[in-house]
Amino acid sequence: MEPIKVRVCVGTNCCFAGGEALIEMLESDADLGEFIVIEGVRCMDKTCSGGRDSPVAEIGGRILVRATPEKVMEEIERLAAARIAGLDTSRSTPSGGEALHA
Amino acid sequence: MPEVFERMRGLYTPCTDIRRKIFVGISRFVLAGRKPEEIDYLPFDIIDMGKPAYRCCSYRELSIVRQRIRLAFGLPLIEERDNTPVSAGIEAAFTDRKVIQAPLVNVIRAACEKCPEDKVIVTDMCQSCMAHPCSIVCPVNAISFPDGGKAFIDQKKCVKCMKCVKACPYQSITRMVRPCAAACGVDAIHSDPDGFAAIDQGKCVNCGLCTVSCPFAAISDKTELVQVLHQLMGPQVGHPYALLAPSFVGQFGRLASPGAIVAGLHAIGFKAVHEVALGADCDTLLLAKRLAEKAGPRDPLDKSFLGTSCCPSWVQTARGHFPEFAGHIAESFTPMVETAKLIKDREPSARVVFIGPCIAKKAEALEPELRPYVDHVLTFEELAAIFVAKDIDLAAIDPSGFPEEASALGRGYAVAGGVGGAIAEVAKIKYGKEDTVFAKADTLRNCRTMLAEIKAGKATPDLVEGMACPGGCVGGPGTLIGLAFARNEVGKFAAAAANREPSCPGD
Repeated sequence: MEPIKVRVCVGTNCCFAGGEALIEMLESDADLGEFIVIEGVRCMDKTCSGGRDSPVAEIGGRILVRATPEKVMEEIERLAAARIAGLDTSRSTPSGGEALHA
Repeated sequence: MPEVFERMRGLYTPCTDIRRKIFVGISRFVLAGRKPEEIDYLPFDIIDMGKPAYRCCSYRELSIVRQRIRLAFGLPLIEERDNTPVSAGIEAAFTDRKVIQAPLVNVIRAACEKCPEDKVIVTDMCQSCMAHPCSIVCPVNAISFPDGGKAFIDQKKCVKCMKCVKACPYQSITRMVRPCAAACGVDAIHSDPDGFAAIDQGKCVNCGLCTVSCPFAAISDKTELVQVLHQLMGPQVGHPYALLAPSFVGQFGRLASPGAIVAGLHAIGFKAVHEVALGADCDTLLLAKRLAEKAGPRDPLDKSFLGTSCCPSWVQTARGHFPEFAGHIAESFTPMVETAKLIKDREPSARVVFIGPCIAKKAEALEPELRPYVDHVLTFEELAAIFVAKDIDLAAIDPSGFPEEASALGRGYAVAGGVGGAIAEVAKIKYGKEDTVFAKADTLRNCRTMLAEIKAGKATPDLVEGMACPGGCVGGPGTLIGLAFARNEVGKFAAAAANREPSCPGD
């Protein structure tokens, strides 16, 4: 299975609101290792609305605002479960995620 | 079991969240030019009344936020339970001069949950088993089984020897220690008559580890955010100098390079940026010379050593708890002060703002003889709040050149072992001292154990390094990133230095 791409904003707003902490938590979770690829990225089109919605993460192409470890893990599990079931969920994500990916 | 402050480290908890929201809220308030008389509106920029996010109710949340704001403004704590408006006299903080005074670390009683100080308790896991080894091993007969049920510990008798904890086959007995007190390496936290945590300011050495260990964020230090912002906004623009502690690397995120951090500091109004590692280099040279002077065959009963002086909490602890060793701790200034002196000698009109991971440096800068050198102290967290409030993105900014001034060894001061390691290396290269016996400890509890061993003659080092924070400065309470990442970033930055060995411009 192709690993799920997790991109976490490490712009200053998102870092201050826990972006780096989120990456660290995901990286330190050994069980996740083979399922995800984590990347710290620059500001994604100011999706954070000046920090009010920080931190921002993108999981499998879908944008999550105010991303907590709980929310991110839930999304990873949802995607992984769907992939195992043979569904391509990247097509069925709510609008926004794909556009921002471009 | 890791130390209490390590269990929450690296997690973004609601305690982190409220602290940072307050720093950003205050920075925006001051930058917008809002006036002291508007202060009562500020809490509502930070919390949403009717939607409590941190506490049982909005009114308690509001009360706590007001008190945290007061401390962040740098003013003495006033609590509502003192029957005084918390914003009384807030206008005194609207200045670019120094306003903070001791005590720096304060318990906000409205936020304190009065956790039990230290108690061995039986949990629900107790199966009231037939063997009941707990009561058999208890040396003071404190354990009984009321009505044949679960074990019960008579707290008046219990001496917390932990024998029952170790003997229980179900691991049902546990010891609960108040996290603030567990974090305190100098036993400065006790209870007031009402059961709230209270800090014995005579014992406190301002390491600040309690502030990041309380799971209710009930302990907070004062900040100089408001005064530094006035410094940056004031008519004197052009004079503030930023001094970056060696642990700064990586603190603002993996995409914020040292050059980007410098560019960000310029963007918020600092005229120049220097590395404190430069002052660390001066200290290394000074202490290496002192160490080499002690060289020669040693009397095995000789307990004298050279103690490092860069961590004020360690220095205070060593001198206070081991007065017989007081003279062994170097009298040299800390790297912060050394660097500030170099700058003020060059430009007397400079206003020096030290930016680091450290709360003890805030206390150090209050010392009357050091006040002329260091004008203000900020933590990395407080500085990051200014970046956020000014909408500066260090991951996207055009990086400035980094002033290449400090050595690899000076840059390594941020990590435990780096200070003593640098001194021993220079003593060897410059003075041919090959036989340095180096002892080091981090966290004040471990520092005290190390000194007790030296006192007992179990160790006879000639060079001793102490650091209050776990892992050294990179583990300080004002840091923003995890320990392993920080250590690695500091190592990379040190490796990139033009020179490995130190030189000091003052020499």
